[in-house]
Amino acid sequence: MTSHLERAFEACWSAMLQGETLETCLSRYSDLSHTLRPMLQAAQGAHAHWDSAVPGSAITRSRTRVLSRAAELRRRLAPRRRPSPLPRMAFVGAALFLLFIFGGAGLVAASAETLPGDDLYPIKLAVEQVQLRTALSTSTRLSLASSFEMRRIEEIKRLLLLHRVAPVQFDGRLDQISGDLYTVEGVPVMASPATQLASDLRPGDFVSVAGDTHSAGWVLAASILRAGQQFVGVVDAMGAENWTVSGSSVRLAPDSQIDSGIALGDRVTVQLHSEDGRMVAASIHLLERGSSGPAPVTPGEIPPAAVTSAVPSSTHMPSSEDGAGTPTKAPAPETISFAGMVQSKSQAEWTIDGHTVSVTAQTQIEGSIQTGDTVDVSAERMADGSLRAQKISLVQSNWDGGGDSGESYEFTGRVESISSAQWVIAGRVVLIDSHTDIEGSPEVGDRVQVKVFTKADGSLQAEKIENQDSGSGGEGSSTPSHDD
Amino acid sequence: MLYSPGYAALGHPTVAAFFAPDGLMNDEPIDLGRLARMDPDAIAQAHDRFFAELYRYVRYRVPSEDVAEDIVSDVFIRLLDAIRRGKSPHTNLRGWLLSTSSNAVNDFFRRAYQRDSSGLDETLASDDPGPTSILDNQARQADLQAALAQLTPEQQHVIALRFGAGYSLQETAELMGKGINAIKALQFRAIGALRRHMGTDLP
Repeated sequence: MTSHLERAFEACWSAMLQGETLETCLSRYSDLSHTLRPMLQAAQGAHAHWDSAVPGSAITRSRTRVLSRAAELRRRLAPRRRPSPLPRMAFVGAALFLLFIFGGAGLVAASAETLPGDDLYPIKLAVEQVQLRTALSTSTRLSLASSFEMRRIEEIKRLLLLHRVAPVQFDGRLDQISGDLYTVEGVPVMASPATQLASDLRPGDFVSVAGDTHSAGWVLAASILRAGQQFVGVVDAMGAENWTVSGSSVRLAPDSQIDSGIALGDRVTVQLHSEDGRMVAASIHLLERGSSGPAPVTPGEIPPAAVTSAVPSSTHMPSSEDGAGTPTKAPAPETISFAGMVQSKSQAEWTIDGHTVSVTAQTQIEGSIQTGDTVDVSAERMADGSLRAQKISLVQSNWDGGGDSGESYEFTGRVESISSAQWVIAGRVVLIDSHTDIEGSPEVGDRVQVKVFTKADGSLQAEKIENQDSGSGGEGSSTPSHDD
Repeated sequence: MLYSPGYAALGHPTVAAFFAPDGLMNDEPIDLGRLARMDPDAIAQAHDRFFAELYRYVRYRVPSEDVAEDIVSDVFIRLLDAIRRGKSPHTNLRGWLLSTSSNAVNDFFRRAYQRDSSGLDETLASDDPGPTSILDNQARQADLQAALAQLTPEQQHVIALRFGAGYSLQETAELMGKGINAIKALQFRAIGALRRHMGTDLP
């Protein structure tokens, strides 16, 4: 009986979705109508609240968050490229030699259970670095990095249980915020007025926490920043070890990549990452010369002070009512510049940091820019409010080209330019040589399938290009042609 | 489905692409190999492909657009984490995403109840002023969501898939990894339970 009811319910519900009325359907199951009616009415009620609308802004924001997380993961896994196996093996040999000579295997083993603040703890971290650097594949490195992250968090939880005070740094998901108490991966983190806090943190964000464990059972945070955080600001002060950018202290490291010629008052993009428990500058790139600076700008906003044209935003735009019908010359469109992540690319439009900019034949594009890369944009704001890109330049590539050097993979896309030495296909620069097998005489605009391998310097060498010319555009897709 | 034997041999994501037979399931393939390498194009492609479906599913069950957006975004980040930990879905990415969405919604309600059970009711009800019909609609939706939250996780999942996200019986069966007859029985029980929890409020 129940099975009969279930079938009748499904049959009626399917028919009602096709437009049949409840009564018509029930008439076919008169013996069950007493039971079926309330069930179908309940289904109608449950279905009545289906809302098919999806806010476009939600997609953009979400994509930004997800790509930021992916960029952070790639940064942690930044491949130590190996032109040949020899340097890697040499590194392994040297590392192991040093560890055993100066420490011995027992020392390495003893370090495994240490916690931050212990004398042997640096050895534990060094061993992990050896493991990461000698991982034979991206996937192995991913797995190792993840397990080390989890290990950091477990160490901190043990420190808290033991009421020990030690400097700590870890990355993780922000679980919740309650006043000054932040919970990150289950670890209570207390913010103080001295804590450097990222703006607008929300549960679910991935953050880097640096600070000290406190005997009261929480971590007193020196900083809680979005993992791999980038911000734009003006250089307020420049020291040998620290700069101040829009009021925020930025610690430099020996390997910080800093554009030459940056002066006080210049507007820069700062990319931070964690190192030895502190947030340090991975890179500082010059965005714009200037003598006076704008207020700090949070990612995702077009900085107001980035307006560089002589036409302020409040300038009255002439209309047909102005000047008693006298023809008026439209003012020059204002020029704005901003930096951000490329969230999507098509032939005519790119979305960068949540802003859609049109790309024309006049747009100057510097560098081989991929989705997920960080770029500088100079654009004109048109009368209708839209942005037309004048120049887009690569600031930082967040994409390593698909994996370790030597890896071969395929992708499809349209040919954007052809020269004797290199082609641009779906936004990727592909090197051509006499060994490249080119089939079907592809021309600019044709859709092709490309098999490439990643060279030691990160460039892509084409092995085969085959004209598909299916007539459908797009960014293309790719598949690995062999194992990682 | 396209299998990459090499990945399988290494114990890595084994399915290079996901195909399904019809309707909502008929998509271009998503390349897990590229996702595993955190290829931004592949990630953006997967995100944009599934966001709307997941959003509708989640929005059906939670009280606000902001919450739905956060949860869906979090589901994609969980996917990235799962991939790098070698625990990515091998056969049914959509099913994995929807199942994870369901768990994330359950987590949301669990946290909300832990914070303050009375606060949840406030969350579910809207304070926005507006025409009476809109308020009535919001109130009914809040009632529905509150009643849904009383069901078992599996019953909530099937109701949201079938009556919230609009999947067919066949699709729901595939997404939940069950037979069609099992889904018929499950949804019948779920509708019955929903009706009991809604009392006489359902039409």
